[in-house]
Amino acid sequence: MTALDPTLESVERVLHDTGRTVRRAMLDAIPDGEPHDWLYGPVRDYPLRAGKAIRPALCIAACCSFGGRESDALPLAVSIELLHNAFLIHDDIADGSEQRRGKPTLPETSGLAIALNAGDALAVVSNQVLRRHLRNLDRDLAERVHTEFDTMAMRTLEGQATELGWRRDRTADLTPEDYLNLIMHKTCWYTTIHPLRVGALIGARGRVDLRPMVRFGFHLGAAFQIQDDVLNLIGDEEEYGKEINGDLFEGKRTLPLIHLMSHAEGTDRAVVSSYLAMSRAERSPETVTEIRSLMEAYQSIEFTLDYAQGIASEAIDAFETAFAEAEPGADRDFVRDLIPYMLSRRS
Amino acid sequence: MADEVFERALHAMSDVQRRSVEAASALVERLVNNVDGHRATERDDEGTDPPSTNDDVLAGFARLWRDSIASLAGVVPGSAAHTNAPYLDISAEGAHPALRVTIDPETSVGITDVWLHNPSGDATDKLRVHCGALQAHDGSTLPAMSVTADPDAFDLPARSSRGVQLSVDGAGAQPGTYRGLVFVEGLPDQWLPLEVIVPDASA
Repeated sequence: MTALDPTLESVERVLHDTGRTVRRAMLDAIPDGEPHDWLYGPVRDYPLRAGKAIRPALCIAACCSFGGRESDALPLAVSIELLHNAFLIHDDIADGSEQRRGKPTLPETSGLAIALNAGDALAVVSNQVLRRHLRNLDRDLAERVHTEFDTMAMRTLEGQATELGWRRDRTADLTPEDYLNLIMHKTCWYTTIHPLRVGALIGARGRVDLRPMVRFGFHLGAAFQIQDDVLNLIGDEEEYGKEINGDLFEGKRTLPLIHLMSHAEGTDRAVVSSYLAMSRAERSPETVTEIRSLMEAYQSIEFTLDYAQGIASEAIDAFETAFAEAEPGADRDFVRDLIPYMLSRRS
Repeated sequence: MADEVFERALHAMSDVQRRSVEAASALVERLVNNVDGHRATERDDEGTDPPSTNDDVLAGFARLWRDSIASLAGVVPGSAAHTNAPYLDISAEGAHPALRVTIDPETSVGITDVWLHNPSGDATDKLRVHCGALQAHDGSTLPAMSVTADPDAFDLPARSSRGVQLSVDGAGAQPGTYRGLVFVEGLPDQWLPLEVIVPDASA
């Protein structure tokens, strides 16, 4: 592994430290008891695995940038991360994924039904943490935070439904614009936009314009998701923590695949169409390798990296607007440095 | 890598990059307008159409401004102010609930928050909360400039709320209770009483 730029090293350090704090708080919030093997054990499984902690770190940094303290945002960051873990379990069930954070997924180890129930439980615990914290806030501020959580959850579910619908209906005529609309809902809202908005809202105690956070959060989240699409194709499985080419097996409409779908010609186009019409079980390693080779031939990965670069450059402008009123300092710098980090991350 | 990304942004974009920027901008524009926008066109969660006239918008403000008064003064217990429960009508005769601020003897400053709600689908721009001079029963006054609002001026996007912090500087003021009115520039029919208590430090 090559050494990271010092700026990015400091981003990793913040993510690491935040991840540790949030992980402990998540485990403290999850009750234990019976049935341990069928519920509370599986519920603790994903929170015990070290994740990237981008969501809680963004929430806390935004809060501190707008005048708040870490302790003001920590319970919200924990609630967000618990909900993220709930989404991951349901995601792994829907996608039939095999690996999550370097280990077999919960559905693989505990079965679909137990995993589904554990995901539900994590969503309930997330709401408990949120509700307990909101009691301490001014009622109006609490209402706004609650509304932000409702909006985030609905946007995410809409995005997830769209992606599942594309796969079920074998939708093929997609453009990069369709893809951006998908990830705005499926990924950006709960990964970046929501943590930024809630953090800033709490830090400024309601005295901040949240509109610019949508623009910045979207560009930051899109860079994150596009890099994820690329890592799924060319990443190191150990660092990345998920199976390489997993998205291809699942038929996910990623940006490289959408590029290939719209550029493949002649017999190549027939190969892609046939692949899109298959179920996951019908996709063999050979089929996936063939599609992967076509992506090389049509320069779909190069296109994706270039596309991500455009998004990231726009994120810089959007950041300056969204954080124009923020206090200068390490927290603001951390959020800014996340932009290049999104394109350089390996996990 | 960090420098590389920022430097690249300064150079001419490729066609692909330009396409990504344009697509992303169009999408964000649409979404921002739906979430915090100036002209929401969708029906709200309850399936009711958003107010469409300026009068409707101001009526919405009036209703929620009254909510704010009632809840801050503790007149409406629990969460009644945010439900369909009746709330105090500030136009009624008799004692009105008020925002209350007690000056901290150590800092000579008292702070409180007041919230404005905009439940409509239209944004209202350039609002400013301000307060006139406050007076005690014996004629002592706290000048208008003793009360400052943060933010000074602000916009209220559609379906949003905003807290405004009122700081009262009570340095040098005689102990007692001072009363005045808070207004919102841009909303001519909205006002609420403000009560500032300056404790007797010698007591």
